[in-house]
Formats: sequence, structure tokens, C-alpha cells
Amino acid sequence: MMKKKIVLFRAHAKDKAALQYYLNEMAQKGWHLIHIDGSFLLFDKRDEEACYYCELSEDFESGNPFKLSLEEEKRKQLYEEMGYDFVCKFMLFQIYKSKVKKEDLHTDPHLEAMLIEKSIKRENFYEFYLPLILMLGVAFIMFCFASNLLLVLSNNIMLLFYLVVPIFLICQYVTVIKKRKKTLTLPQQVKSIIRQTQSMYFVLATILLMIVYYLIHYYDMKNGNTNILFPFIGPLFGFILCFGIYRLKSKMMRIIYSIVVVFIFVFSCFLSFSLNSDAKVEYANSIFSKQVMQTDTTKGIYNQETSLFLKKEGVYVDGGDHFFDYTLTQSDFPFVIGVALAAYQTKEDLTLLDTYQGCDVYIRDTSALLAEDMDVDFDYVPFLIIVDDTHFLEVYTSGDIDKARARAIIDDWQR
Amino acid sequence: MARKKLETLSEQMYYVLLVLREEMCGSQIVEAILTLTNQRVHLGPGTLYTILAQFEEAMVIKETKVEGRKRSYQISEEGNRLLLSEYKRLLQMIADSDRWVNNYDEKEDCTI
Repeated sequence: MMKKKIVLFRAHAKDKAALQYYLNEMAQKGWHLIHIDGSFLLFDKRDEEACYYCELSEDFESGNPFKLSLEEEKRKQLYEEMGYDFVCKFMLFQIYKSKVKKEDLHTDPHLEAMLIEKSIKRENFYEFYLPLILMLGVAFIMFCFASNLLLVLSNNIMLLFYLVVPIFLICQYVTVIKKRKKTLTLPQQVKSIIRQTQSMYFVLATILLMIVYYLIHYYDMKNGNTNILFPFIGPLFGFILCFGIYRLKSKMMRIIYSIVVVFIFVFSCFLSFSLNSDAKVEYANSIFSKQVMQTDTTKGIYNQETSLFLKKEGVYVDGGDHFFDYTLTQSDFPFVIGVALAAYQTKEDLTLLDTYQGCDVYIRDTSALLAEDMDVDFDYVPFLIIVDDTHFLEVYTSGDIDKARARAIIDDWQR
Repeated sequence: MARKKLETLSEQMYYVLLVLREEMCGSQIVEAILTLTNQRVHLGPGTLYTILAQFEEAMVIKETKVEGRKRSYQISEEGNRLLLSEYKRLLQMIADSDRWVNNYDEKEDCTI
């Protein structure tokens, strides 16, 4: 004879009464609720008289869909004191039962309505607004990819990606502590912090992966390697890890899951390292149609993935991902109004001007450049510093520039 | 601040505050209200918890002791002030209603 039964029942906050009615109907048939997981209700067949009551949570701070928060624990104690036994919890729902039919949990319709309204708002946030924000975020990143804006914004986006989640959670945590400061003693606050380990896992895992990513990425860049997709690996695995920890009920399963995800993360890092450096650069170029420089930093010109630096007397011009945002002003370098990674693969139409710290410096025929439909959508003429056969730095200049003027600029620069 | 949120009290809130002049735990509060109101006002645990949490946050009551699952509460000074003010408000409502009831009674008498 079947002793257990799983039933699909998708309950929303507004269906509280329907869920309670359904549980009592099942109880009359001898099926008693053991556990709720998502839309699935697990019943057990046994001879028992029980009346079920459904309650909505006001807060969701434990961060674990199955675990009671401190406030919910207090609520449970009061209910148990009054003869209502706790059965289980999932997300917003808490289920209680009593051996005999007792007073309904709520006798004040106004207060109950307020509770339902709060729960519906919370449910809407988790089921509608949060996915919407995530989808918009993904769409924005896709848009950045499509429009090559990622080259410009990649570092900033990554920074936001890394910071938004922990900041949001820390703010939520601080708000909860602040809200409860009036009623909680210090030991209770400490207990509350421990109770929020799920949220803290989320923060810690994200921060940890962020640090690991930066360490690895820094090492990777120091070796002149560039993997444009690599910045996504840290946050992506952070999200997968945290989501799994948040969702799984069993402690053992959480540990196993964490180990597997961390292993995949480490393995992907290993794969990233084992890739040929040139292959990475080629891959990066194919995505961005940009040439990536790899030069010796001692020459004063070097590349740090998407950021370029020109060095003169200890002053750096940061370019690449900040086309018009420099630490140098025009008075420092009158001719420089932009520095960017160049998109050209050959030295056609270039005239050798000079060498600068071991680099050949060319100037390009402006008419040829403007005739080509490259990503020069403004009237600035590029002034090029060629580093080697395939890699070079492009410095945009204002107005027309002829050979003599370029020469003067080089002289000025070298001086 | 507390007054703003709890400017007026519902019937159940009023009775909770009234019985908490003595230290009581949850089940005792429910029993005391049933006795006081002659079984008229019933209080479910969900409603009681929400009321207690609101009162505690507004410092109208304070938790006095915890014994296992039992938590006891008692009214605070702020709570006494709130209870008195609510009592006066109710008296004022009754006084206002009395004028109408007296007029109504007079009219009824005339009709008879």
C-alpha cells in the first residue's frame, strides 16, 4: 500500500485559504502533510486526527526557504504554547496543525489583510521584479557585447556586477538589525546573525570568488594573456553556487553541491590558463575587432587587457576603455584627445615618422582612413604609434595633422 | 512615534493592552480576554502574535521573561499612557453617542 504521496499544488500568498482547505480535505482522507518543496506537497498516509492551519510569513530574512527566521521562531513558540504544532515551512508559507479543531489563526480580518498584502508584495518581488531586473541586466550585457561597448565598459560592469549583490544583501542585513535593535538584546542579535548564515553565505561566496577572480586575472594579465570571457566566470559561478546553497535543504547536499561547483570553477580557471596566449588574443580580437597590444611595460606603453597607458614623466594617460576620460588634460598633451586600441591589422598607408623608445612611430594618411568605414565616427584624425608588426596604439588628435605637425608632437613628447 | 502608528486601537488590541497590566504569556492573554469579555472576544494566535510584535516594536509592552517556549509580557509606561488615551477616546465617543441616543429615545417616547 502506498504510504507517501506527492501532489503538485502551486500556492500563492493570496491562495492561503485554498491551501489550508486542501490540507484539511487531504487530512480527512488520512493524508497528512510532511513537507512542502516548491509546488510539491509531500503527504504521508497515517491514522491521525489533525486540523491544519496555514500562515504567511512577514519576513524572509533567514534566506532559506525551509528555515525559520528568528521572528518566525518566536511566532512558532507562541503558536506551540497555544496548542498549534509546527509542521513545515516553505518560502512564505508556514503550516501548523492541532489535534482538535481550534480557533483560526487570525481573528482580526484587518490585521490578516495587512499580512497578506505584505506577503503578496514580497512574493511579487521574488517572482516578478527580481527576475525582471536579472533579465534586464543580462539584456544590457548582451547589448554591450553586440555593440562593442563591453570593451569600453567591461571593467565598470564587472565592478558593478561584483558590488551590487553584496551591497544589496549587506544593506538588507543592516536594515534588519536596525529594525530589531529596539527589541533584541545583544545575544539575540548574535543569534540573528547566525540565523542569517544563508544570506551571509551568499555575500561571502560572492566576495571570495571576486577575490579569487582578481588574483587569477591579475596574474593572467601580468603574463600578457587576455581572455575577454574570463571576467564572467567568477560572478557566474558565484551566482550558481549561492543559488544552489539557498535552494537545497539538506546540509550534506549543500556541501556536496558547493564542492562540485568550486571544482568546476577551478577546472575552468585551469582551462583558461592552459589556453594558448595567442589563441586568447585572437579570440578577443574576433569578438571586438580590436587589436590587443602586448608590450613591455618598461617601454612606457603597455596593455592591461582593455586599458592602455602612455607614460611620460610618471604621468599616465588611461585609454582604451575610457575614450574621453583621461588623467591628462589637454594642456599637458595638447594633441591628445583620445587613446584607443586600434582596429587595423596592417601598416598600409602608413609613413614612418620616427622611433619612440624602441617603437616605430607612423602616421597614417588621413584621407585613406576617413574613406574607410572604420569605427571613426567623428572628425578626429588618428595619430598612430606602431609597436610591432601587428600591434599598435592609436592616439586620436584634434583637427588636421600633417607630417610636420606630427613630427613636432613626437619631438615634444620625447622631450 | 508610537502614537502615530497606534493612534487608535482595534478592540482586540485594546483588550490585549488592558489584560497586560499584569504579566502574562500568550495563552494566559487569550484566556484572560475570554474571561474579561465573557467569551465574546476570541483571539487567534496569528492575530495575537501580530499585535504583540507591533506593541513590542512601539515599546508599548515589554518582554519580561522567557521560560522555554513561554514568553511573558507586561505593559510599559508608554503602554499605560496609550491605554488611558484610548479609554478617554472611547468615553468621548460614548458621550458623543449619548446625545444622539437621548434624542432618539425622546423621539421614540413621543411616538409611543
